Amino acid sequence: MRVVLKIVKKALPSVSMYFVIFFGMTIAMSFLTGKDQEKMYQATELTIYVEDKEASVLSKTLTEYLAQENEVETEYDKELLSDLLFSGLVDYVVYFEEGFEENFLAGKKGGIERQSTKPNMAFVDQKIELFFQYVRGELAMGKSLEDACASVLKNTENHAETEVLSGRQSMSTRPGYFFFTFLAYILPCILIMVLGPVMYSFYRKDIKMRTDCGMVSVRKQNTEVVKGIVLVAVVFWALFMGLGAIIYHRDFTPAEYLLGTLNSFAFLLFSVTISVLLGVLLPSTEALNGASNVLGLGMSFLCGVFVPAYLLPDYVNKIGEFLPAGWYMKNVILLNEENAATAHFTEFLTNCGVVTAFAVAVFFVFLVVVKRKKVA
Amino acid sequence: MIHYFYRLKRLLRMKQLFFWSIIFPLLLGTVFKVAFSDATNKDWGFATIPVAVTTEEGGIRDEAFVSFLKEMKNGDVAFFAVEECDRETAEAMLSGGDVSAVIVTGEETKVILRENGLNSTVVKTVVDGYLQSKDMFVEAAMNGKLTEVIGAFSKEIETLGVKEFEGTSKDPFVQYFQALIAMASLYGAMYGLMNTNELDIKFANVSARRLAAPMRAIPTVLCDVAAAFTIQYIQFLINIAYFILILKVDFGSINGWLFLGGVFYSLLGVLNGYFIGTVVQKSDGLQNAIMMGCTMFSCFLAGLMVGNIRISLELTAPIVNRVNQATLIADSMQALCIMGDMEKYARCLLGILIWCVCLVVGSILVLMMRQRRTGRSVKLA
Amino acid sequence: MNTVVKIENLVKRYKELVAVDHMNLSIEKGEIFGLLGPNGSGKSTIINCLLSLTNYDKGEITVFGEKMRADNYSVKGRIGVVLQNVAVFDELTVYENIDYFCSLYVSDKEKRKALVQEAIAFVGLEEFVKFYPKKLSGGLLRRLNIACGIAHKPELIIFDEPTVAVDPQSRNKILEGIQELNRQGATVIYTSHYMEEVEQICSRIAIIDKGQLVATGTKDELKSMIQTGETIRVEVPEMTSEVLFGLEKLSHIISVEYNDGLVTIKCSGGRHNVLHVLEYLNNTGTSFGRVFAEQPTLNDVFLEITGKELRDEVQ
Repeated sequence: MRVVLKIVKKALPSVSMYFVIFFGMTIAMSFLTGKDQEKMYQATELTIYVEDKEASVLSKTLTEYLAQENEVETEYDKELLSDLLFSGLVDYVVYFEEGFEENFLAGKKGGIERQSTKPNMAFVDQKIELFFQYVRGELAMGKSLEDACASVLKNTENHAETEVLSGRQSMSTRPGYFFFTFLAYILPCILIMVLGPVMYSFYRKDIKMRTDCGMVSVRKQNTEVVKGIVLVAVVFWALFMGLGAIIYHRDFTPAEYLLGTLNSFAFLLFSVTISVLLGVLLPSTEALNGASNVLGLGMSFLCGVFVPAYLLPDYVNKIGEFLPAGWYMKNVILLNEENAATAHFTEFLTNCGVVTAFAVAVFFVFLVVVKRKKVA
Repeated sequence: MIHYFYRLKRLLRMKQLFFWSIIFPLLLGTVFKVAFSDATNKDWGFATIPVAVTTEEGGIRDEAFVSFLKEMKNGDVAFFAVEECDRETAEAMLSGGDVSAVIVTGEETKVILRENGLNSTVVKTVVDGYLQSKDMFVEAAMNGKLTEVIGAFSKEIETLGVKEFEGTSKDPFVQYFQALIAMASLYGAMYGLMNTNELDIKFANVSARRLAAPMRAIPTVLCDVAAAFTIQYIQFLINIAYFILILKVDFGSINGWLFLGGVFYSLLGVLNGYFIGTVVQKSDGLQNAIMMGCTMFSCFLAGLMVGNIRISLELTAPIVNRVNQATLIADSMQALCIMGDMEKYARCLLGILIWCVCLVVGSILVLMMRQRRTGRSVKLA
Repeated sequence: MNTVVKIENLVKRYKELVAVDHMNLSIEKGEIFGLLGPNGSGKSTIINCLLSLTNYDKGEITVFGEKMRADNYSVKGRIGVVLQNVAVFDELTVYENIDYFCSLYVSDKEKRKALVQEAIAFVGLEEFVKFYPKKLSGGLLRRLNIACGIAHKPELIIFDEPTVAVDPQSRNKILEGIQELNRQGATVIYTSHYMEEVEQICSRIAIIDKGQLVATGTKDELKSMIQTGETIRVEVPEMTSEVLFGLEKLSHIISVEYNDGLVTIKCSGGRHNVLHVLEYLNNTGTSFGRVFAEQPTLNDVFLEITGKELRDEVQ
C-alpha cells in the first residue's frame, strides 16, 4: 500500500491541476448560468436586438410589443452583435431605417428589416407581420396612429390560458448541474492518471517477476494493491463530493444530492475499473496520459457532458447508450429537474445499475487480461 | 543550420509530443464532427410542430382558427401539423409525446403544453396573437367598421424585409473547432518546455554536452525555437487541412491571412513552454502539469467544452477574452474567416504578439534575477 | 611540458555545503590525469567549473593558457567531454548523434563526415550506425557516449566516470581507448572512484575528499607518501604471544595483528619482508599455512590520509 501511495504521489501535481480546472470550470459555468447563459437555454424568452434609427411611434410600439415577452437589447456595437448572432445568443435582430413609418402608412415595403441565423425564428416574423395587420386594422377604424398603436398594445393583454404538463424546464439548468456533469469528464481522467501508473508499475514484466519472487505471497501483494487503489479512489471521490456539497448544497435537496452521490459512486466504480484495465494494457505512462484525455474528452462529447444530449444527432445518442457516461448523464439530467430524480426513483436506480454493470464488465475484461499476461 | 535540422528531425521522431500536437487534436476534431454534425439543425432548425386541436365540450369548432393554424407557413413548410381530435385522444397524444401542444378551442381558448421550450413558445405566441384580434373585431363591430377592419386586416402585405447575416458561416459549432485549433497551438508549449530543459543541466544530461560546446547561446536558442515553431506550424496546417478538407467543417472563408495567424499561434505556444520552463524549476512533472492545466483551462474559456462560453464572457467579463490566449486565437479566426473583420483580426493578433513579447521578456527577467540570486550560470535557458 | 589546465584557489559552495574548497591543480600536456575520490567528493563539480557549466565563488581556471569563461568559444572548441551519465538523444541514430555533437564543433560538412566515421571506427560501433540508442546495450551505449565526446578530435578530453555500471569487458575496452587517445596526443582528465582504473591508466593522480585536494602525484609518489608498504598475511593455526611480540621487533614492521588464525603484518618499505617473516616463523618453530603479500594500493593511501575507506562509499 505504501508503494501504491508513493506512485500516486508522483501524479499529484497533474491531478491537482485537474482539480483546479474542474472547479474552475464548474464555478465559471454556474457563474455564467446565473447570468446570460440562461438566455441560451431558456428559449422561451428570446433575445431580440433592436436597432432603431427612426424612433417613430410605430417603431417604438413594435419594440415595446416585442419586449413584452422577450428581452430586447439596444446597445451592442456592430462587432459584438455579429458574434452574438453567430453564436445564437442574440436570436433575432430588427433594424428600423428612416422612413419606415412613412412607408408603412403608404402601404409600401421598406424601412424595416429582420436578421437571424436561426431558421426556427420564423415565428417571430409571423408575430411582427401580425402586429402590422393589427395596426392596419385599427387604422381602418379611423384611429390615429398613436391610438391604433396603443390599442394593439392593450389587446396583447389577451392571453390563452396555459398549462404545462410536466413542469419540465428542459433546457434551463441549475448551477449545480455542471458539478455533476463535469464529474463525468474529470473522474475517469484523474483516476486513469493516478491509478493507471500504479497498475502499470505493478504489472510491468520485470517488476512483476521481482515481486513474485519476493517473500510476500502473491495474494497478499494483490490485497495490498487493491487496498491502496480503493483508498485512493475513495479519497478522491470523497474530496469531490465534499467540496461539491459545500459549494452546491443550495442547489439540491439533501435527497437529491445523496442520489447524485450514489450516481457518481457508480461512475466511480467504472472509472476505477477502466483505469486499472488501461494500466495493465498500455505500454507507458505517457500512453496512459494520452488515453485519459482521449477517453475523458471523447466520451464526454459523445455522451452529452459538454453539449447537451438533445442537440446531438440520434446516432450519437445511440453510441452514448453503449458508454457508461451516457447512462450517468441520464441521471444527471434527472437531477437537473427539481424533484425528478426522486419521482423517477426506479429509473434512477436502473441507470446507476447499468453504470455499475459496465464497471463489472470492464473488471472481468481486466481479470482476463491479467490472467493472459501471466500465462504469456 | 544543421543544428536546426537535427532538432527538427528529433522533434518529429518524438512520438509523445507528436501525439499531443497532431493526433490528439485530430481525434478530438473527429469526435466533434460526429457529435455536432446535426446540432445546429437540431437547435436552430425550423421544423413543423405537431399540435392537436380539440373543441371544448359543448363548444363550437372554431373553423377560422383551425384554418389559420393550418395555413401558417414558413416558405413552403407549414408551421403546424394540425390533428383534430377529441380531448381525451389529444391529451393521450400529448403525454405520449406525439404532439407538442393541445389547443382547446371554444368559449375560452386553452393551451396545454408538454414542456417549456421553443416549440411551446411558438404555439403560445401564435395562439395569443390570434386571440388578440378578438378585441379589435369586437370594437370594430361596435363602431360599425367591421368590413373596413377585416379588409385592412386581411390585406396580404409583406412589410418585413430580410437582412442576411453577413458571416460566411452559420454554424456556431465551428467555435468548438476554433478552440480546438487554439488548444493544438498552445500544446506547442511542450516543445518549448523540452527545449528549455535540454539546456538545463538539472533536467537533461545532454545539456552539459551542449553547453560545453563552443556554441553561442542565442543562436542555439533561436535554432531550438525555430525548429519547435516549424513543427507547430506544420501541425497547424495539418489540423486546418484535416478539418476543412476531410471533416468538411464550415470554417467560413479561409484566406491567406489565416496563414499569417498560424505563425502567431504557433509562436505563442512555443514561447509559453519557454516561460513555464524558465519559471517552474521544481520538476518536469510539475512543469507538464502546469502547462497542461493552463492550456486546458484557457481552452475551456475559449469554448472547447462549452462553445458559447466565449461570447458569454464577452457580455459579462470581456477583459477575460482580451487576455486569454486561447480566446485570442479563436477570436482571431472567427473575426477573419467568419465575420471578415480585419480590424478585429489585427487586434487579436496584436494581443498574441503582446503575449509573445511578455513571455520572452518575462523569461529573460526571471533568468537574470535567478542568476543574480544563485549565481548559477544558466545561459538563456 | 606546458600546462593545459591550471586551477587556482577554486571555491564552490552550494548554499551551506562547500563542494570545492580552495582547490589547486595543474594538468600538463600529454598526461592522463586522474581525479580520484569517493562519490560526492567534488570531482564532478570541479569538472563542471572547469567547463564553465556552473559558476564558482572564488578562484581562477586557465585552460590552454586562456582564462576559461562560458563564452570562451575558442577554448571550448578544443575540449571534449564524456560525462558520467549517457548524454545522447534518444531520437537520433548512432550516426546522427555523433554527427550532431560533432557539428557543434566542426561546421565543415566533408571534414565532419570523415571525423564521424573515424570516431565510429574508434569505438567499434560500425555495425550499429543506424541503431537508436534505446536498442543499444549498456556497454555499446557508453561507447556511443564516448564517440560523441571525442569525434571532433579535442586536445583535452574530460572523462567523468565513464565506466560506472559497465561490464568488465567493456570497461577494459574503454580504458584501452582512453590510453589510445592519449597516445594520439590528447591530454586526458579522468575522474573515477575506482582506484584500480586510475592506477591502471593515469600518469598522475589527484586524490580528493570533501572538496579538498588530499594528495597529488604519480601513483608511486602517492604510495611512498604513506608509511604502509607491503601487507603480509600468514595463516598460523597457533600463535604464542612471544612469537607475536618477536614479529613486531623485526625491522620494517609497523604493526602485527592476530585474528582467527591469521597474522596480518604491515611493513614500511624495505625488501624481502616476506622472507624475513617466514624465516622468523620457521626459526621459532611456528607452523604456518598459506602466505599472502600485497603491495599498497591507492586505497591504503586514501585510508591512511583521510582515515576512511575509498571504496564501498554509500552513494
